[in-house]
Amino acid sequence: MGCVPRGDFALFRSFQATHTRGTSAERHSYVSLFTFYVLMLRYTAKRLLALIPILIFTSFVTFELVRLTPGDPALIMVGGRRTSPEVLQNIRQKYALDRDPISQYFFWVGNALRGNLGESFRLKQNVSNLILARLPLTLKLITLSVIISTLLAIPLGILSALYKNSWIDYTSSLVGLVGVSSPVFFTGVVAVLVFGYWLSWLPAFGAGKGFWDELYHLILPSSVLALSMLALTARMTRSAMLEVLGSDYIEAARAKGLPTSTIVIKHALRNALIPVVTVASLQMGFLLVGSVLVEFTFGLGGLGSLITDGIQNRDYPIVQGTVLFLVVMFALLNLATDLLYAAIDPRIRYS
Amino acid sequence: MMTDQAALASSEQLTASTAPTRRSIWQAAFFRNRLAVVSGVVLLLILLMAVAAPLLTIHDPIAQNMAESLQGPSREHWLGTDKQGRDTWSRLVYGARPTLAGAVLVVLISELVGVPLGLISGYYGGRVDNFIMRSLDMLLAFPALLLAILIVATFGRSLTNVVIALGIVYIPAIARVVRSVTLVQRQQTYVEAARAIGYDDRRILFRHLLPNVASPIFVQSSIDLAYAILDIAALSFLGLGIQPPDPDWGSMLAEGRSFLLLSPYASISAGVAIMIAVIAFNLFGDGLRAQFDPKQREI
Repeated sequence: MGCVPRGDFALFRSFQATHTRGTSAERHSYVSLFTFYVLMLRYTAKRLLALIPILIFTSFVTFELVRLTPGDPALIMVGGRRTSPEVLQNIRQKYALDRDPISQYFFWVGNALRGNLGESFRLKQNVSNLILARLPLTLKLITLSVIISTLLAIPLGILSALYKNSWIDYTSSLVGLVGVSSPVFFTGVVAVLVFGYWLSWLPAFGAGKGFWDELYHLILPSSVLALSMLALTARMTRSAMLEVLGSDYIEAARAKGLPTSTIVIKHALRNALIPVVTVASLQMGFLLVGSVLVEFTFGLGGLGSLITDGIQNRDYPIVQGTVLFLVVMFALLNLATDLLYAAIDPRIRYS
Repeated sequence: MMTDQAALASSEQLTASTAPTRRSIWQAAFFRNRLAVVSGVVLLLILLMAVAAPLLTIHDPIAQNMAESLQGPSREHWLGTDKQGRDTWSRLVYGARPTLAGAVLVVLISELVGVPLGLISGYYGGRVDNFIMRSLDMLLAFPALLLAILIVATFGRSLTNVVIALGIVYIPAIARVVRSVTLVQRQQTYVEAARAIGYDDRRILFRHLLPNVASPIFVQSSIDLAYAILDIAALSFLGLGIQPPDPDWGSMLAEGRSFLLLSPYASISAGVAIMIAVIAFNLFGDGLRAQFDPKQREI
């Protein structure tokens, strides 16, 4: 799969496929709370076990790939300056560079497990501290964009379901198509140009100082990131609403003479939101990756720019450490989503 | 039971042919097909533009001319010039070449590895299937952009490395599609017949099964091409792809950022070009999917 956040239709389809199969009685089949806990616990244990080889593989690839880079890491570490062989030997010993690649990997992973990701070549700081310092900004960016996209996408989805095949339905799918197909960095450039320069409504670059100022600076970047996932959430809401609106209990509510607004908001939306919320959590992982591009576009100092700067400066400990951190986050988010799916959809638990 | 169903089906057809709703269904199908046709034409035009680049431009895309720096659109320079005075239109047209060729190569590489893996996985099943699919899952555990960034950062910045990196990243998607179709196809009588005749597995896999899983591969290729263009552009944008002074849509977009206020034409035109190509490949893929088999939409 590709790089730009995958708010794509293929994912939407596969999701729709898993959630529309079977009758609704099957999907909401009743099990006792105890059985539910046992099944969920078993499923969680299974998924946690499956996580171990994945983490080993990804950390191994991350480490060894960067090791393959041409050049002596000890020389890069001293900045390519002329130094005595003793100093180089000392550095090699300190970072286990004199050992074979496999035991170097174990040395690195052992340290990483204890929270020590090594020291940046250039900034001479602990990589873990750098990551912790940069993390809040990236988290804020992602959270804000999830909020923005959900706030826009759910009403859009409801409207396109209620007025199916009307101009609003077509407009929303057009917006969706553009959102999916326009790379975040292009949307970002256009947003900077229009809202930052021409209209001067919002700051175009930098992260600001203090909580509110930072939030203000993040509006534009997170809106851009939100647009890329708006499509998927809106279409999910639309199809879930259409399914729910066609069901018997909505018919019953209509027969009772309830006003449409009550039916839509109190009866239909509640049930339609379940898959939508799951998709939103799934997209957190994709947003993690999209944030790398958005941070680069808007000159924000988050985790993404830590990687891009690290590559620019050949600062390998930073690249290794940050990529490892993001991969672990990605894996954990995927796990959380799977568990959420399982909690909602009994057919996944049983398998 | 069977007759009931048949009767039901035929009555449904009958009502469908007389009911007023039939027209709207017909229109919807037509609408989708028309979009696919239009996007196919757009794709052909883009391809033609890339091939016939020298015929469509008068300026050298990398020739600098400081006297004409940052000009707006004119008869001489349709989309203006960039900071080095290079013609934006020429760069846009020539930039289609690496972007499109790169995307095609990415898809070809991923299919060269992914299709056999998917065929083998689906055909043999069991332990082989388990091993292949679990290995591919590991590749999927990497956020794609990060793996590509890592590979390119390690082996050096160039279009070649970007293409190889993305080619690897795209393997699991195509392998999964091929596997899921092969799982169904291997139950078919023609596979049994081929086995009964005594053909060896390789012949069954590549001469009998492969043609039958071709259509989902085409659909997936079209969608993958869209993503490959986006991803190549993303990596170029980060400065990891094609190196200056050669033009490419992603790097044009990045270079144009620094003089966005003075002359946004380079950035905007490159971005619009990426968008059009991606939308066209997406819609074309959707059209192909509907064309080949309406029931295969879930793949």
